[in-house]
Amino acid sequence: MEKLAYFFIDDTIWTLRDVARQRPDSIFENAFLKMLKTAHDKYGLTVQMNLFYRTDFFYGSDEWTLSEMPDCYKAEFEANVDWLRFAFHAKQEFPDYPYPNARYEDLYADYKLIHGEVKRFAGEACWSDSFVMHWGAVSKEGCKALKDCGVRLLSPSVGEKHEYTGDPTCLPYGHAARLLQNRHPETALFTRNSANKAISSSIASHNFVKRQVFDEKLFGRNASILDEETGLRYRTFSGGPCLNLYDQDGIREKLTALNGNEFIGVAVHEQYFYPDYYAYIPDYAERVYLMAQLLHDFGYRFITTDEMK
Amino acid sequence: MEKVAYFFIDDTIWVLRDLARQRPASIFDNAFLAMLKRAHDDHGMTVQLNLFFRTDFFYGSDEFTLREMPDCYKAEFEANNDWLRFAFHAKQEFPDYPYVNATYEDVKNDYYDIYNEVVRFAGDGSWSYAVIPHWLPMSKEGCRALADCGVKFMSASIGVKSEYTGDPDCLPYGHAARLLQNRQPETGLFIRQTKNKAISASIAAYNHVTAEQWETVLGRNASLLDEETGIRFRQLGHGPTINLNTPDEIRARLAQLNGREYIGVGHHEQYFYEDYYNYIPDIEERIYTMAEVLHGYGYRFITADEMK
Repeated sequence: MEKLAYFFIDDTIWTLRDVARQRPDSIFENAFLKMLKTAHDKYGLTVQMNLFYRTDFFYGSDEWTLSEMPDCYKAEFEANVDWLRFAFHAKQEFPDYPYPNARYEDLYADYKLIHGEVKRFAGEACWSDSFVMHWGAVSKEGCKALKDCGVRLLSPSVGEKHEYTGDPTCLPYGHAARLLQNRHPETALFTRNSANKAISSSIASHNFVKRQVFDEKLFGRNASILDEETGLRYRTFSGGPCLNLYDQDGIREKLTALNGNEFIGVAVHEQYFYPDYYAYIPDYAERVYLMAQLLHDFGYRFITTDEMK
Repeated sequence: MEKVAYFFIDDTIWVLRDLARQRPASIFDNAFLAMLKRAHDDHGMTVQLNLFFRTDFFYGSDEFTLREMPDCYKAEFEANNDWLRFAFHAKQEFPDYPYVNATYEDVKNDYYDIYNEVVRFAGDGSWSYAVIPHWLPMSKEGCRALADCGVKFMSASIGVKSEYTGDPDCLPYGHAARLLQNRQPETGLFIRQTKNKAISASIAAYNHVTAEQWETVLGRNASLLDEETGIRFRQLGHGPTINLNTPDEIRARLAQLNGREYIGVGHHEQYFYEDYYNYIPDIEERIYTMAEVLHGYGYRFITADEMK
């Protein structure tokens, strides 16, 4: 059994904004992309950057969208397509849970918006048809839209689904509104298995798999299950430590415990790399290097979603 | 002493989107504005619509901005600007607390984005220089920007300001991030006096006054000058919020307040609309009740022009 690893960065947008505004000679003069290339060159790291279409008003009114990304780096992105990919994540960072009750048209349009821009500035080969949705939950209509957009593999929420009680305090502040606005029948609650305990009480939608099924068929495997209603396949993209939630000792401990599994996926979020983010993590790069080195040394080969089953 | 009243509706954008898309012959063919006009015609109600620049992605990707509002209703807005006004509220509905740590440039740009569009589609005479920022707190830089934009009055948070402890659980989920992102030295915590207990633990910024300062203007048509920025802090609301009170509760609260020189009443636009998750079917009755009761008590509704 070959051991496979996968690394993805959710919430990506600032890196491309900086490249567009600073216009370096090479994309790898950008500090974020340089960090990723260092880990790729040393340890064979592959990376999927899950994109927002635009920066969020949360950070002020200096808005930037992917439509402003120049195509002058297209050849360089294409030359690195074997290890550097892009995929859909959401239109923007806020609100939380953008798609648990999404209309078909909205998700279809948002997906095409991001896919269209990536094709223009990085080429079709840089696009991944498999990804983790922002906050996880996607409506049934949204799943159908993704399928019609050509999406192959999607991450599901995992656990036991239970009905919303009508008490908004059963969810973190503001999340009950996300559950209720344009509510679809498949929307409910589940307990998220996350190191971030503030969001344990979570919203589930159509892309959902029971814990027992997940443990038996998906966890630690390069495998997926078919959702017959939409044609999408669900699989795990992670299972490993989310790098912004674990310090270096925690990353080492968690990966050591998982070593031996056929598949280990590792996630991080882009924001924590940037000193002007309120929750900036100064050793972000070291965490990425450590993760790549450990998995490399454990005999894992980093893959893109092309090799996902 | 003349008794004066003031009514404002925060979070306004959908009514203009509907006008722009449906293009009725008159603005008062729109159900929301027809509701307001009935209360104006019968009870002399005035109303200030505090605007977002654009609809929010919270409701999906069908975005509308004030740029899409046609100017074909300008004459009708101008003909009604003795009672129907617009003002700045925020660029959009989310995130909560948009301006708690805002830069000068962002507030100025967001203000002018809205102001310029209103001047274009409704005329300068429809603009109001009294502002209730979305979620209330505004950074010191933001207050300076508003003063430089010509704003005369703004609302303030009230009470004891305390330091943020570093524990995000002391605030509703997500709000600690708002306090910390681009944090300004004036940002702290306070306890909000509201019927919505979920947001009692709140963020305060520069536009904050002590309870003692507040007592000197509460219930009066009066304001407190902030000498550092030139803005005047004053009561704009603090009567019953329409979307948080039933008609009976509105009657009871206004009966308690009757006799004060000034009563301000606030509301939020969304609750009028059936596709909003918190839709309230009797909004029209609530607004009409508020206007009728205050009129019956001898209050005269004013615009911000008459504020002191």
